[in-house]
Amino acid sequence: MKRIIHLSYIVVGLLFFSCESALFDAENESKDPMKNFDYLWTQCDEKYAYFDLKGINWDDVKVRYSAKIYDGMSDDSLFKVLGSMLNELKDDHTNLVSNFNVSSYGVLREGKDNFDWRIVEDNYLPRRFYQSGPFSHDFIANGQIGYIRFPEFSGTVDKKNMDFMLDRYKDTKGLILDLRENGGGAVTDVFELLSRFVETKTLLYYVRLKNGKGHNDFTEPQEAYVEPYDGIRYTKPVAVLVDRGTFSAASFTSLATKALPNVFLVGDTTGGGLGLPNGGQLPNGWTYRFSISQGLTLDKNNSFENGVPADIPASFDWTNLKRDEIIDRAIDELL
Amino acid sequence: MKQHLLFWTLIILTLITTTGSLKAHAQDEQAFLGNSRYIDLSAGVGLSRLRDFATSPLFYEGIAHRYAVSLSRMSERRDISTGFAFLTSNLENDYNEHAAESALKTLSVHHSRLYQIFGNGSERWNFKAGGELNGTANLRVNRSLMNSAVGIEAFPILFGTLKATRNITRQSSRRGKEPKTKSLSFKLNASLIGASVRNGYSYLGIGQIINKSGFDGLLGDYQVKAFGVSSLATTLDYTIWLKNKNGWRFSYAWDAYKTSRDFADFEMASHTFRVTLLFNTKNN
Repeated sequence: MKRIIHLSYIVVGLLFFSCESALFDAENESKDPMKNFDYLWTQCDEKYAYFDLKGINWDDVKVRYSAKIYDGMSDDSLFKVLGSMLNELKDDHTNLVSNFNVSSYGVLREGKDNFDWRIVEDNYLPRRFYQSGPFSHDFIANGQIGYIRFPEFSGTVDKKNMDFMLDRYKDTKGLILDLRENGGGAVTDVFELLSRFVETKTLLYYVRLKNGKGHNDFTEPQEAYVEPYDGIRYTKPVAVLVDRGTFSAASFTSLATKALPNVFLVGDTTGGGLGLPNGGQLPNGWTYRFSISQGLTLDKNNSFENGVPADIPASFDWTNLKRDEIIDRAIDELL
Repeated sequence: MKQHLLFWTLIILTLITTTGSLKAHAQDEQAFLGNSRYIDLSAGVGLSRLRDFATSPLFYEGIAHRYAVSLSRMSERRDISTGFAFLTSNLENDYNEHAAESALKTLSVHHSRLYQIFGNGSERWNFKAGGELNGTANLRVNRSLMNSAVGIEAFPILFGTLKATRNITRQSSRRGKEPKTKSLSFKLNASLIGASVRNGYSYLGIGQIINKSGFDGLLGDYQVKAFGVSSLATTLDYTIWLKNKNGWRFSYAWDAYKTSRDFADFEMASHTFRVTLLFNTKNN
């Protein structure tokens, strides 16, 4: 009897493993350079959201970059080829990540440098300005305007911080929200911020998502609304300062201001980043991400991915390091 | 802490059950059981592996711990069971010196009903057939996938079930003691109708960027596909019945899921060795 029991365990065990092999596809781990190239190229081809807007011929990219792939190439060489191929998308929501390098496009460098925090600290803010959570802020322009620096969407925008700031500046003539060189982060912060600047439920923008392999296969656009915060709000004019380093969640905020009558953009065109980046892994273990959705304006135009334009263009004059011309321009508008 | 709690619960219940004073003779398992109701408390350990082609072509593997509770009713003519199981594991892939980890939590609920077939067969064999309704949901967190770090899927499945039980109680005792009633059974679950509830084509939903929170935001782009999953599950049980009709069950279970007709397939399998305390609550 024991023999039968032992035998049945072995037979059933083998049966389980063979069933699993039959049910699942084969192992796909591979260091083969061409296999990894094809995998990444195809993933982008089927899911990246902005080929048409950016005028990218992805088939041509395949021809040019596959010619650089050869058997036995080093991981570093393969990384350079694949990273450069992704940079053809000109999108900072696109990265290749290995354990020895990370690729990125660097949209910030496509525009002029328009921000120096030290100039703001030295020439506009008091020595001991306030820091409430992620915000650095204080009165400027002889107490007539509140200046708020928000360097990244850290996901830590806090109701108490916002209440404190907006109550403190309630008697000012206007507010400056400085989003220059803000590379984005948690989108939830966007709505926490904007809910303080609206009086009614407001349609901000639309978003549509890739839903097929064709470069123009998208879902129907879906609305993004913001509702007014049930508490302290700021209803006077707000100038949002932007530059090419204003990206992703900061760019979404910039896009949303187009729907808010009392909020306007001052500075340079933003860096874009209105696509939601999707992450994945290659057969060799490296990881990547790229945008799989489009942010659309109220007239359902996707062109702001190339940068949300400022309502009032302004740029730095680097011959005078004591002035921030973009803050100055915003002050002029608010006073 | 929870593992320790479960361990000591099992130990205490073991002491309670083994101090019972009921006597029973070696006999057919089903006749011995009558029509009994049980609380089944189970703990197990095994190997899990999964692959989600939506984010990676690579398998993630690791040791999994499984805990389960169910209420069951067993008799010669029917087995009815309702319960849930929780599986937790950190699955890893470490290929090309590039390590990644997927923290997996799986919750499954089931209700099964099996009825005797071949009623006039051998006294030592009992065959049952029926169905099992099972819902399994996974929560996976793989930080190396950046914005796609969180994966959630669910598979409600109706299984067709076959179960064969062999009474292997010794006819004669050792050292003059009454032999314990023992059985060996094999159960096969094959999916008849299965649905997959998974991310849409793009894997990520846009809930967060259109200011939708909660389930609306998390599952906004999810799609339900009838006949979207194939699944097979088998269990080999070795059960020892105590004189007071409580029992210990030692099992080896295997189950596998694979989606079909999907944008990107999902594959998952688990091998689990588990120990179950069958705590008798009512004898009829």
